[in-house]
Amino acid sequence: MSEDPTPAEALEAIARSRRAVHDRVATGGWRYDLTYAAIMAGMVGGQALEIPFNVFASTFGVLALAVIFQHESRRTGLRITGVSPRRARWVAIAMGLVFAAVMLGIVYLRRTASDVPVALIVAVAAGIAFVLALVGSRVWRRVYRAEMGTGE
Amino acid sequence: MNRVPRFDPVIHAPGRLQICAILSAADEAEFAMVRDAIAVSDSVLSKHLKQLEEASYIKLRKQAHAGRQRTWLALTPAGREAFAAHVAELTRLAAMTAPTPLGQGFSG
Repeated sequence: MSEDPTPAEALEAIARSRRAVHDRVATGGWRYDLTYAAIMAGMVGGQALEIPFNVFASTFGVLALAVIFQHESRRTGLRITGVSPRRARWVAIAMGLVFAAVMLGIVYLRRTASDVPVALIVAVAAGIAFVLALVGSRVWRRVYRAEMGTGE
Repeated sequence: MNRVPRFDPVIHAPGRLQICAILSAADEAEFAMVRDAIAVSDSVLSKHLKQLEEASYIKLRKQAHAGRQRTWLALTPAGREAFAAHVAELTRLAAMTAPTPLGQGFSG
């Protein structure tokens, strides 16, 4: 690019830089998404357990999320929280609401359906959370990628 | 995004334009990552960062990790606003200078 780029050259340089950021984040993305989904499965599934094990599940889950976020930041040289991009944040907010609803559903089920084995509730809840987290994470990446191309 | 288009000479220089583009796509970016992405030396990047910092467009944060100090860069709210306005102005200018398709221009 010249020292005094034309508007078209400048816009192309901006798009190129933003694509480079996206590509850096996308490399190794599946590994991050699978780890994230496994942590969410443990956190959500753990809510079906008795006190204090459900508290342990939440605490270790939050700590594990912090650890993978730090690790990803060091690996990519970028810090991107789920809620900072303008459009992709809505995917993150929707995921948060869905996880909250699933957790409340588990608590309700534990109180009302005492004849259902706890192990079954844990397994089903963890499975649902794993799939939701993985799908949500992939959708977030697609929206983020599209956002990188718009210049917003 | 409806921004008032405004050309910003501090942002428009090629190096600083790329720095702002990278920072606009993340909450923070590490010094070495930005240096490698725009392919400049440490001193050239530092010079660009100083100018952006003097304009209050970026903020720097030092973090020690495993005996090494890392510098993280982020756009300030004013920097994000200025960059968005600059992109809006570039888009407007690019649209004005785009070649008119045959048959749609002035025909005399």
